[in-house]
Amino acid sequence: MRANPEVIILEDDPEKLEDLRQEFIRKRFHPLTARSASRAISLLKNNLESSRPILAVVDWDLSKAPDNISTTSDLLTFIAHELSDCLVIVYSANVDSFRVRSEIHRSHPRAWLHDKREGDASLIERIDRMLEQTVEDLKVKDGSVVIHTPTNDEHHHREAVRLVVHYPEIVTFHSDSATKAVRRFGDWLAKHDSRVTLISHGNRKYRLTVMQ
Amino acid sequence: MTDTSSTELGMMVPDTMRTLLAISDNGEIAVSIRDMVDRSYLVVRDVRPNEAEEGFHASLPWPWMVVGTTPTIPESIRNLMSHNPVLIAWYGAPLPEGLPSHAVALPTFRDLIGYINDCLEAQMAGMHLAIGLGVELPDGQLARSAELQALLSLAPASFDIPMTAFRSAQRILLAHHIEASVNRDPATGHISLIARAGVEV
Repeated sequence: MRANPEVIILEDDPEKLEDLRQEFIRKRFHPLTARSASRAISLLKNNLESSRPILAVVDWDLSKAPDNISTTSDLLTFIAHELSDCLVIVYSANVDSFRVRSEIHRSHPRAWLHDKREGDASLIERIDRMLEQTVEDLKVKDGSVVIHTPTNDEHHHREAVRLVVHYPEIVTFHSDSATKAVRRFGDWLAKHDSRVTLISHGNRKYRLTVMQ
Repeated sequence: MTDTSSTELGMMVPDTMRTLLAISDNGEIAVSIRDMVDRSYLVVRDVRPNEAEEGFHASLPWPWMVVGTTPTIPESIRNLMSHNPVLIAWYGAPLPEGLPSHAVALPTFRDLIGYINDCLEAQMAGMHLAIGLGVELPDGQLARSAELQALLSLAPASFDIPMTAFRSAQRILLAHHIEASVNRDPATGHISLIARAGVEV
């Protein structure tokens, strides 16, 4: 069964938002896009049962946003509370500012920062580096597919990607369908004699471990 | 900017990842520390003195380290640090009164970063801190024990808190046949992790 991972993108510039959307479609992601923080929060709130992005790409400076009902800080706080296993990258032209850095990390202590002045290509490279994790004989390609490198077999499921990008942390899954997908991934690892195995900690909590 | 109370801020979301709780009046120390440590090993929570207790409780089961820059701290956070195996480092201000004796005062930022990174890189008897949380054991297993993590990070120095706080660490060392043990100094009552004789440290 295939399920493309989701990404939430907040960018107030419509052209840049479209560029990012196309980039993630090319990577086989399902992008959720918004030009304002309030729209992004609504999108996430309204789809919380069915949609849990593995990545949030957030523009800190929203001068072109169609509304200012909520701030970027509100979105980051929402993600920290409701989507704690979502990787977050925040980009800003003011990333050197102590005040901005402090505000971002008080809203989301695990957020990664990127300097907008380094350009769009640099942002994409940075995202690729965040997502293209390797764990022993497993590799995440384009952030959306897990590959067993000795056989080149692919496992297409967002929950498998989520586990690999969070290795060795414990990840909590939020639905029966997600935990079923995780167990299928565990079976797939065993079938491929992978050195990586799935460990269950109960209560829908799982992590990957490497066999010694 | 909308007015968000500290409880609502993302930094107060409970998290089991190894945490450094940075207590300061303006947050500058947290921003600076974040730039100088490997963030796959710890998350830095930036709190003001009046938020410190909440930040402590959000760091599950307790923070790995508390770093402070203020000359005084609320009694509640002082009590929490006196009853849990938490590393304590103070920078730019004298140690507040009433902290346990394992707290260290570090005069320069360089000293502080050196201390944090030394604690993160601690090794003994084949054990070292794992990415995220816990301790990687010589047999490849991951021990999530915050007590063992604290003892290993502070070694060879000792904790000025009761032995009862370290039961899980001793159990893990015995269960995995690790050549190290939890030691209580008979003179001071302080607790440390020591390698057993004949073992490379």
